[in-house]
Amino acid sequence: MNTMHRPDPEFVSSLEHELRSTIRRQERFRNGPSAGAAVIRKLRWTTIVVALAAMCIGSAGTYAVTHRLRAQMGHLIMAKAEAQLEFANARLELFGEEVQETESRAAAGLLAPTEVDEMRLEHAKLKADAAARALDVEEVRISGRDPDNSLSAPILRGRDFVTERLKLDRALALERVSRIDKEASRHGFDPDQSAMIAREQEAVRAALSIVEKRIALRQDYLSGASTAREVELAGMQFSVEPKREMARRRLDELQQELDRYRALFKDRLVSRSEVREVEVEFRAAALQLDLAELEMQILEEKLADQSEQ
Amino acid sequence: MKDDEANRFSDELIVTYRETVNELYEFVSRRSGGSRELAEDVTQETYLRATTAWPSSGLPDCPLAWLRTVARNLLLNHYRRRRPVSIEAADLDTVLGSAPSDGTEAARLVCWGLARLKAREARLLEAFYIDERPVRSIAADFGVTERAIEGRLRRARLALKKLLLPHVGTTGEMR
Repeated sequence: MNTMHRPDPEFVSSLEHELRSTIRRQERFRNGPSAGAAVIRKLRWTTIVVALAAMCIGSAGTYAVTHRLRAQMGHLIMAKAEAQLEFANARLELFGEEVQETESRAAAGLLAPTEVDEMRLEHAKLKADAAARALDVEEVRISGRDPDNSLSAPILRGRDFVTERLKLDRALALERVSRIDKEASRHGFDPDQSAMIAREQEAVRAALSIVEKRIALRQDYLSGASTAREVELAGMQFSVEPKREMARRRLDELQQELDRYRALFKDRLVSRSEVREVEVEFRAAALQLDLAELEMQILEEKLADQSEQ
Repeated sequence: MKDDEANRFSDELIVTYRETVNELYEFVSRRSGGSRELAEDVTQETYLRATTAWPSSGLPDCPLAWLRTVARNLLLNHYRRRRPVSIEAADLDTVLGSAPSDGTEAARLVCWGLARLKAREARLLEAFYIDERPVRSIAADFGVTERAIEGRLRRARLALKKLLLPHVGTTGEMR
């Protein structure tokens, strides 16, 4: 140890002496007679009795008011869910007409087949959204509350709305996978396009995998294999994991880009501000990764706590 | 019986004091900008707080960690109350280069800046520059990759530079 950071022996012994005196003083204070302790105990009991009586009277009134408010709230939530369903159906109908038009134009050779595919995918998205909103309306009708899409939501009169919605998500994710696979087969010879499509393929497969994992978690919860907290935390973890992976990959890509730009800058082929731009992007990506890692760490710690309990 | 327990606890506390005082003092001294007076005050206050807290909560599992946390907070409070002294220096990197314990005005200014950084950034800079721990060991503690730690260190250093910039007299150019 550096002598500068070593305590003075005199200081150490005088502090020890002071600590001993403090402890002795505290002991005397703790063991001393407590005047008026009985009065304090009596007062405490009286306060508890008065508080309990007040709570009983108050809770009866509160129950009546809450019941009325809940009924009013139920009507509002139902109206909102129905309006959302109507809106989703209107969008679907409108878009259906556009899809038909695009299909006929593509059949006449006026549009590329990829455009029809894109329209069909968008149509499938809107269809899934409308179906999910219809499920919301049914759920609100039973529960009188906002739809609960958490993995630990209860079964309502035999209906598992969470799994039903997840199945809609899965159907849509499968549709995306099949579309991107089809596109990949079209662009098989263009290296740039192929790389881009490969990345997209990976992303849509990751999204499908998350939905499937969420369905499995939901089944775990319903079968009693996992607690509500465990499935919610694990569900969040599944969402953060791909984010972290993506951030890591992006950082690696930007590192290479940065190295390339720095080399070009040395040969005076790019300006300082161009290098700076990549540096800023690199920093932003590093922050994204830090954030995702932190989120993951927090969730892992929470999960560890949960399993210890 | 009660007296026996109290005596035993008192003995335990004194034994803990003897076992930890040197390490705690070093920890505090390294963060005191070379001021022995400040180091002694903070060390004394930390142990006095322990004598108040431990009789009711019991001795912590790792007393030194408890003591370090309290001491660190006391130091943070101390520096947060102080106004920084502006200094003349060749550039900001010279200021950052001075160890926060070497007794110079620059070192005190660095301590002052550390007290104003976000806790996570300050802890990271302290671990690297004051406790001189390798990146690998810090990364293991934080549960992240070495690259992530290097990135965070860079950003923390930059944040500290920004804080100190208005208090450095001459050519404090950001680099």
